[in-house]
Amino acid sequence: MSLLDAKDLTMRFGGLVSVANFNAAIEPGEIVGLIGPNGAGKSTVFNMVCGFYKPTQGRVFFDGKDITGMKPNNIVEMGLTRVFQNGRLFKKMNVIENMLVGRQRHFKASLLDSILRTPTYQQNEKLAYEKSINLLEKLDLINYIHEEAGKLPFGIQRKLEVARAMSTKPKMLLLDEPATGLNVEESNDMIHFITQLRDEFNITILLIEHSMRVVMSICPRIIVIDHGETIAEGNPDEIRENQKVFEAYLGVDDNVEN
Amino acid sequence: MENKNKARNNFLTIVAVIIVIGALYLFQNSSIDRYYIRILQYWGIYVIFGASFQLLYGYTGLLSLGHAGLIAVGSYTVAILTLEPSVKAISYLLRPPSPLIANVQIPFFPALILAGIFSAFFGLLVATPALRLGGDYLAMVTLGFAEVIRLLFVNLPALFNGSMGLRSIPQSANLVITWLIAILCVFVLKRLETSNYGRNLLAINEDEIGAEALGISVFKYKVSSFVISSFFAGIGGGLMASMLGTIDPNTFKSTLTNAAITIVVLGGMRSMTGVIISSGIYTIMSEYLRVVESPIVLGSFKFPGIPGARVLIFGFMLLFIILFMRNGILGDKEFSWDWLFSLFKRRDRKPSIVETKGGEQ
Repeated sequence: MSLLDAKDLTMRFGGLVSVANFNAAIEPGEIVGLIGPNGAGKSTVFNMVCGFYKPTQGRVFFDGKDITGMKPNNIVEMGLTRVFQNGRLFKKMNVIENMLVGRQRHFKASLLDSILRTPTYQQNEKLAYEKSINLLEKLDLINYIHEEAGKLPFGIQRKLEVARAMSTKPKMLLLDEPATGLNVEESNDMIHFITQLRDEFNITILLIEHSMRVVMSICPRIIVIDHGETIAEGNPDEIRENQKVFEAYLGVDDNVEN
Repeated sequence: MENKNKARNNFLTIVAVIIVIGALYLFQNSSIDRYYIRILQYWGIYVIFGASFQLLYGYTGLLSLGHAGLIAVGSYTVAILTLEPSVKAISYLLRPPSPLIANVQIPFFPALILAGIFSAFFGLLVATPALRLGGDYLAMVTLGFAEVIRLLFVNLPALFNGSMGLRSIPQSANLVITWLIAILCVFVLKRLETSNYGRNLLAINEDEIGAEALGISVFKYKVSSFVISSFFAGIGGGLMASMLGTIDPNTFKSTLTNAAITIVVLGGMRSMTGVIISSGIYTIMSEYLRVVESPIVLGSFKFPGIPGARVLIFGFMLLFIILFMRNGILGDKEFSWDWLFSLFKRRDRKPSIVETKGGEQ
């Protein structure tokens, strides 16, 4: 059974059809790329899957359960966490605090516990610290642990954001352009980082990315959408040779006769 | 992350609290002018107002302009519940007291807890619809709420004795009790703010959508922080009613909300130490600035006093702080014993030799 199953997702804003009949079935452990030109509707797909938009039509199933129209925070509870395109770190908080907020859903202590600092609270807090530190160590971010998130180098900020999403212990991550704005070296680093996530945590990833280099090197399977419609699906080689994809990105050449 | 000097620091804190309370006790029983004791007591109450407002404004990042309304709920709760039935019978001149409250009288402390609970309830009532709106709308709705509360007091004479207000409220909250409760409130709020709860509030303050995408129920956190803040505002209000002995709807004008805002902005958005200092400054200023409201004689000229001129000065002060010292006095720094000791150590020893002497845990 697939982990994420999007069935006929459609999103209309007034008369504009942003996404039409989007279908995708993603198996556990897979890394799938979602690409398309600007305005193709990629982020809208994410917003529908994560509960930020309620799809006009269609349903989303995650882990066998219908999550259509659920609130974003409840979807996280199910094990599906999203990382945003434009950076949503808590910039004035330090790295470990960012991670700890991500762990909130595993924090089992009431307000009274935290006022009285009961053993339950202390155990939870200690566990949260340990797990967060552990994760930072695994992901090579431990050196920045007490730095203010907003003051980190951009590449590290992007990584931290993914790491923070990982601290919710998701079954699946939705990454929205993790390599945006990174230079070649940093984006190589990001490629390594994402493959490391897959290998070490066996996590399922759906990835939006503009950089073909990144997508082609990470994703064994790629879905291409344009103007809200799915125009191609396949492995990197198939996508590279697909005429429709070529046209979507570069436009149709009128002078060439077929 | 554990502080090695934790045991020592806790001990020092307890000693400090005992010393402060002891000093206040001596003050209270000395022959010192009651006026000064009243000022100190006001200080303690303003600490509660400031601290409760800080949770909402400094942590969750919600600007509520209805704090006066919540304080009023607490004040009236304590007043009505502790007034003697015979006093009620005489003082409700406009209408006889409603049978609901006519024969009720409970001791001060349960009344104070109920004051907090009622305020929290009203907080919940406003917050639930208001927090579905964002940003400035919350400020508007809460501002309206405070006014509605005040008008309810005026227009339900059988319950609140209208604009006559309530008199002869038993003055159970003396200086020591006020400060003990203030310290307890500060303690509870600080514990909340430094726990995972406070951390999540800060995260919401910084990026709501980011927090929601990490599984935090933003709405629930916002409402709960509003309710907690209301609870403490109610406790502060209850203490105030008991201190003043007389309250009427005009006691709870927006000046009280402004006081809470000024205290937090002046002291530092996230510093409890700052709140304690700035509420002291505020209390003392608002007493001594009465000068500007009384007539001034300069040579042969006589300027009439302007009632409300104090508020003007506080307004300018707030403006000045926002423009020139954005972080207030302390920002988010907090007094700590370690900091205090480091001051001494730096003076007589090289920092490299500093070892932790407080090994007795």
